[in-house]
Amino acid sequence: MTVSASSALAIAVYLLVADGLAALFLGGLLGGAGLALAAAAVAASWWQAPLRRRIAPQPWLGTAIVVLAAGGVALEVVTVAASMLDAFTHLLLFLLLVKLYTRRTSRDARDLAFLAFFMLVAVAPATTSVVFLALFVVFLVVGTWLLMLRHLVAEGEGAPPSLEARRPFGLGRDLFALSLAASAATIAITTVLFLVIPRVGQAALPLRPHVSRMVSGFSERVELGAFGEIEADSTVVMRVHLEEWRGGQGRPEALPALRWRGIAFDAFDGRAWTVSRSTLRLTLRRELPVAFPVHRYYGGPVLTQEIFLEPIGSEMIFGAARLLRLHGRSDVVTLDDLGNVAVPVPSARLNYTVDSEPEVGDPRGLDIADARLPADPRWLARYTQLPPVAPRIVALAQEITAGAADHYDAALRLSAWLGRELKYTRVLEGSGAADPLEDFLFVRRAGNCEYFAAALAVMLRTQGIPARVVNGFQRGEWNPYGHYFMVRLRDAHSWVEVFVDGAGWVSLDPSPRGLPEPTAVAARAMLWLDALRLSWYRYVVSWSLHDQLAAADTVRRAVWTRSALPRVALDWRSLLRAAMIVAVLGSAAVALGRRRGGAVGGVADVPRFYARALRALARRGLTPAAGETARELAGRAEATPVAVAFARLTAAYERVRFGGIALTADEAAAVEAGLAELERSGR
Amino acid sequence: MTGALELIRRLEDNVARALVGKPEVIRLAVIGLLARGHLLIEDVPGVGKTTLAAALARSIGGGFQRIQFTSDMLPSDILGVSVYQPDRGDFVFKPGPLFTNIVLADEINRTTPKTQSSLLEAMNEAQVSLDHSTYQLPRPFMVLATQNPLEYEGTHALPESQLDRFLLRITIGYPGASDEKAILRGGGATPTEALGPVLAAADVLRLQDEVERVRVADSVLDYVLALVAATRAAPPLRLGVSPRGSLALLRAARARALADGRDFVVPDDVKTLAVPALAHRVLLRGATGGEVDPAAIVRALCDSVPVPR
Repeated sequence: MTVSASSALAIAVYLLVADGLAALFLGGLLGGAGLALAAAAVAASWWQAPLRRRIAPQPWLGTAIVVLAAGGVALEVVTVAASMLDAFTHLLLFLLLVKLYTRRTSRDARDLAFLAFFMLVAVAPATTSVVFLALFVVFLVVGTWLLMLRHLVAEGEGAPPSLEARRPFGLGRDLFALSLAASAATIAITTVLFLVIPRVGQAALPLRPHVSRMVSGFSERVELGAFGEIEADSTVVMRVHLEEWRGGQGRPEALPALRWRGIAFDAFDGRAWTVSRSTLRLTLRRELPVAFPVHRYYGGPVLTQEIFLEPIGSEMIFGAARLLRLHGRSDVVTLDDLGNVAVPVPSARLNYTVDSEPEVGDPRGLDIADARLPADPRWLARYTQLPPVAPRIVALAQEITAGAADHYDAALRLSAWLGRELKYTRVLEGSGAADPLEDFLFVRRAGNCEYFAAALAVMLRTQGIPARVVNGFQRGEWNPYGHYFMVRLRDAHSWVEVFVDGAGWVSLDPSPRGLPEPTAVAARAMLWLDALRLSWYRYVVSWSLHDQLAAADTVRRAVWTRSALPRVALDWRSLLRAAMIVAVLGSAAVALGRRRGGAVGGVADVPRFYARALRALARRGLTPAAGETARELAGRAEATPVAVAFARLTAAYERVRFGGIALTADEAAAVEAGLAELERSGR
Repeated sequence: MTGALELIRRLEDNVARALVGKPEVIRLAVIGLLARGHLLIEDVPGVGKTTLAAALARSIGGGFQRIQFTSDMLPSDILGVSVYQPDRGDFVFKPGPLFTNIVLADEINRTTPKTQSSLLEAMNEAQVSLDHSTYQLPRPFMVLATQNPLEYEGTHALPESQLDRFLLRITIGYPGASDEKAILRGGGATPTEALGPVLAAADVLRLQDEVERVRVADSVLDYVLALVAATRAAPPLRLGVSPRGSLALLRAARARALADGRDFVVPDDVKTLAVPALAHRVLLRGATGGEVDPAAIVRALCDSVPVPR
């Protein structure tokens, strides 16, 4: 298809504008209604173009519009705008529409491209979405294309109209392929620069405050007797990388009991579990990059987790039970003697690393000096505190635990009984009972994890066994593409910690609730997308100086450590990636080189068939000199057997190249036949 | 189109009856006519300069005048004079031999620069200004001048400004051996006096209009510019080609395309005509008339300037 350069330019401009608007929408700078309105105005300008050509430009109008825009923006900044960024966005949109409705020359196309670019710039600090990458790539490709087209049109504007009319630009695959190659090269170079140039400072423009907070699911309080349906939300709130599994060699089935502990409660008032006022809180400040010590180390294996936590409106730090250390960006941390770790409520995604010492299978054989039952009666009173409990609950607990060998055995029996005798349900119906636990155990005999956990803790405490309720998340779904656990809002969970003498606090989950089923094949794309999103966040959005140093260190080690060399060389994935990069760069270079090669001796407008004929002739040792015309070359070729065919091709070439005459179908066929003859005999 | 080509063929064939064995030279002369230009035919005596000019002139229906230039000639001998007529009590302009369609200015460098210059305005604007009056020359108007090479005795070199006004400078050269034999035998050539017109003056004007419509691709324009720029930058040349020279080259190339049966110019048109159209417009550095021929320099430039592909 042949499109005239100016309409191709118009198409490119509108694509860029659409890209910019999509970016504004993505960054939340433009709402759905605003987007619809802006899109309608942009579309209308497309149809208004013919009308515009008939109207003479009014120079004073431009000045008036600029004054209006400046005034409007100043007014907006001091009065209504939620942030500077909003005012800037509105100014951009206004200028964009003005330009679209007054577009005349190719210079305006360039200005519009700049405005679209500013839209992307405005959005950059307001979003961390991976979709931005796609929009940016689109902008790069279309923008490059537009620059080339603009150059063509600008060159053409000086030419006499008769020439323009007789020879429409052929803007087919070649130009677009060239702009694709140029964009690919740009992206490659940008990527290298991004990874190498030291990351310093913060974004110049302030982030828009994030107002959206996820509140359902996890809470910093366990309240019984509420009603409603929970756990349906499949939004991913947390992603957990296990350091040991970085290379993808771990298997999630190996760790079924993994849970992400958030907050433990010690006080129960009959309806709600809370953190008692007697809890010792400690706020630590530290100098980077020393880790915060959280819990005493018992000497077992250590599990390191890198966690990306979405803003869920909680200040708790999650991690596998018995958190040892916390590395994070925050320099203030609050710890308490329940093992809860909190940081100031984050407004954006939180990225931190924790070291944990996972609990071993059966704690009964352990005898760790630091994990003995404290002799302090106040300590015991705190973890066996109870409000008045219905007598039949105490009786039930007594009945189940009768004959238990120790605390842990009693806890196991109670937990097994709960899981066996009671039903797990997500649907909560407010019964209005005075004692929700009694209602759960004897009347409804069904409830969610909070009921199970509360029931277990209360029954343990009636038997004088220290216990507490814990809120957090289940292990979540394993993402095999990104090698991490995806924890969703619906994975929010409650369980119990019971104190075992010599082993410390041990987790126990009484809920008969299974792990989520493995993902269906159809959902794999979603997993892959999620992995892509996390990589985008990990390696682009939160790419820091620290990461650069680490990467540089890895490279240095790989180069200098002998043992590392073979491992790097044999990693076929890296090889494949490197090969792809080389292929992209190579094809870009070839495309550019061919283009340059075609331009030798003047304007690069050689009809393709003549270029082919020249190549065929070159194989016979005949190449044109710089000052040699096509006819002179044909004259030199007269001694060869292809003289007739080449003379015919030369005549056709002259007609096309200098006469601006398109070949008819018959002529084109004759040209093809001549070429075939030339190429056949050239071998 | 075919009509134009047919007319041109007829003209060329007619001239070829008088000038045997020189089809390229005849083609150049016809190009000069079609491009509304003037021709300077320069060669040693006796190769057929006058024959070419006379044959071309006689092949076209219209007026023809031959002016034999001599050293004692005055401008009024060419342009004409105002003569007092007692019965009307006024001066009346009596046109000179220039007032015709084709002028054969034979041995133009035999006369003085003053007389040579009187041709300037006529050649450039096809009009004559005399005694505060302007007289239009008939159309088509063409000057065919012949001259001997400059080093000959008793010649006055044409001023550069005058040389610049000739579209093409043509050399004829000795005929080939077989052609000369035919001439000696006396059977080959027709005397110019026996030639009749094969083209009306209106036909010539129509062909000249046709030339204007020949298409020139942008790349060919660039090629013309590159060639001209090369003459301006060439070290052996003191004076390069003027914009009038590039215009002349382009016009001649258009005419050549038409004479070749094309309605578009190819680089060959430009390259072939570079020497006839440009070589007489450049001045050599240093000694004049040495061993270096301006034509050779222009030819060398043509071989080095890249041709559009």
